Amino acid sequence: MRRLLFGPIAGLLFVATTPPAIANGNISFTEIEKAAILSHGPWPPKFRPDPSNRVSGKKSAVTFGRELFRSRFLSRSRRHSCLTCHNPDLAYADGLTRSSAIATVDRNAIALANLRLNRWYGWDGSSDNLWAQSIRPILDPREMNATAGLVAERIRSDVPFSRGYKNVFDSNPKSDDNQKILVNLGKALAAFQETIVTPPSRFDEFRSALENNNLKKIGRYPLAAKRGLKTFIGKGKCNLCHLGPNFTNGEFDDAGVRYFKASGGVDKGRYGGIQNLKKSPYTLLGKFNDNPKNAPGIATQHVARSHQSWGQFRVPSLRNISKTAPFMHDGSVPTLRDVVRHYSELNEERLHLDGSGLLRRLNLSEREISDLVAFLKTL
Amino acid sequence: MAAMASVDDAWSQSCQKNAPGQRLVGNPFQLWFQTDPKKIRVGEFFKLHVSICSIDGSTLPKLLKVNAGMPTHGHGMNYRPTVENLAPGKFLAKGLMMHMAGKWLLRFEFGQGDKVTHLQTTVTLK
Ligand code: HEC
Ligand code: HEC
Repeated sequence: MRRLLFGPIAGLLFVATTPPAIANGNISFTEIEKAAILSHGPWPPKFRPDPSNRVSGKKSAVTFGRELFRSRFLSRSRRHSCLTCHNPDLAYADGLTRSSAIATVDRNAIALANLRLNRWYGWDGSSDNLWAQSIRPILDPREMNATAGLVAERIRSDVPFSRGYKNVFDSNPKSDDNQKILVNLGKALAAFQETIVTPPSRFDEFRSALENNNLKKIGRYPLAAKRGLKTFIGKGKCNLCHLGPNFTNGEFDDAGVRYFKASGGVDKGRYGGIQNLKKSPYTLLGKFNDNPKNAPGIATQHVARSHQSWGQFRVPSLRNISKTAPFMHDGSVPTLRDVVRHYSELNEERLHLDGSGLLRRLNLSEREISDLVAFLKTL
Repeated sequence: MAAMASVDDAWSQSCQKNAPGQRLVGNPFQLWFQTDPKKIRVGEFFKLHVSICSIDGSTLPKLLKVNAGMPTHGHGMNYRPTVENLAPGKFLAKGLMMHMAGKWLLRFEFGQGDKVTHLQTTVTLK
């Protein structure tokens, strides 16, 4: 009933709000729109080593970390590795709704990329740094089910890994304690993962063409993507949360996705993430931070848990989004078209910040939906 | 060091009419604040240098709390700022971050004895 009512009105609105500045089948942008578009770049960002990790950016650590990432000996059964759920052929995700190793976890694997830009890691921000986030799956009984003692002993007794460890950390695993070895492995894994950066996309080419007023290159960006971009920064207000070069504010929000675990319990989202963070010995406020002066953990010092955090999830980056289906924290949305449809037909009553006006049912026309998808595919 | 000096200068001038930063007039106090960095951006942490000056010579109140929220969206910040009292009437608030563009209400709560009052202003982030 509502669809019937809103369909034609939305169509009309679109015609009425299409800016008059269409020449030669091309679309022009107002100065305000242009500023909004330019704020999504430049790309890629300059690499800055992570001050909390003394081997961040170190070549030998990247090589060692890559080996560890592939290696199945970090899992108790020697059957799983990081690759099990972060496959480079699937943009370092796994294509599954909810990931699975020893058992199925509650969430969708996050495609690993551009990780130096994160303030928080995981859908719920349980970690404030990448090395801590890399330790998590090693210890999780559903993922690799190991312990600090187990992986430390394996490193000590394996000749090539033991050599690699010495080479990167300048210390002997035989004399380092279990915790120290576990954290160091996290830091080498982090050094490797930091090198996974998505290359400039078709959107980036368009963005720099727009910046340099290169009409020929501006013309190469598909019309549908241009129209979709207009919706993204206009009527859709997508850039309220998906902002800046990495298309995220790095924070947490409620996008109207239900938050049940596979087992049926409630996924507390950010609320639980802050609880995990406060319990963790591996935060920037703990003793494993290599440079508290330059990585003081301001966010962790001040982070506040409130009823608002309940059921919130991290605003995901939209870079490389055409390669990382299925979507959302629980992988419940199969395609990009379905994501856009989700926003278009949003059940406002389900949002727990009801009346917040942040997200509104958009009632997009079929063409607007296609255009928005066309735009997302260029990221 | 240089940054500190300029803030100190600003602080010493802060009860004068043309002081830099922003002034909020209450009764019988006025509050002056400056963000650090001066230009605040969506999603980036900032600090606030705050001075409270007495208009009629009465004892200075204490800044108790600083907070911010988006009234039209019904949410606050995801972070809880802390306030340090650096000298009588001089405060430093740390740990503020506005995670969305739009209109934010910045609220200062100060008290003297058991009396708590507040001053507020809007900040619009693009
Ligand atoms: C069982 C599948 C599985 C395995 C094995 C696994 N991961 Fe993950 N990974 C996930 C899932 C699911 C998430 C999202 C977790 C969450 O939010 O709770 C994730 C999230 C991450 C993130 C956060 C990315 C971000 O942007 O916040 C990093 C980093 C990561 N994994 C690294 C690793 C490393 C390193 C290993 C190997 C030591 C590993 N993962 C093993 C499934 C897995
Ligand atoms: C209020 C903040 C907010 C706004 C506005 C918003 N999003 Fe999102 N977006 C989120 C959050 C939070 C998630 C993750 C939700 C979850 O997993 O439960 C998300 C998820 C997504 C995803 C899935 C990404 C992935 O890796 O799974 C896409 C695509 C997306 N949004 C596109 C859009 C588009 C297009 C718009 C505008 C129509 C938009 N978003 C508006 C916060 C927002």
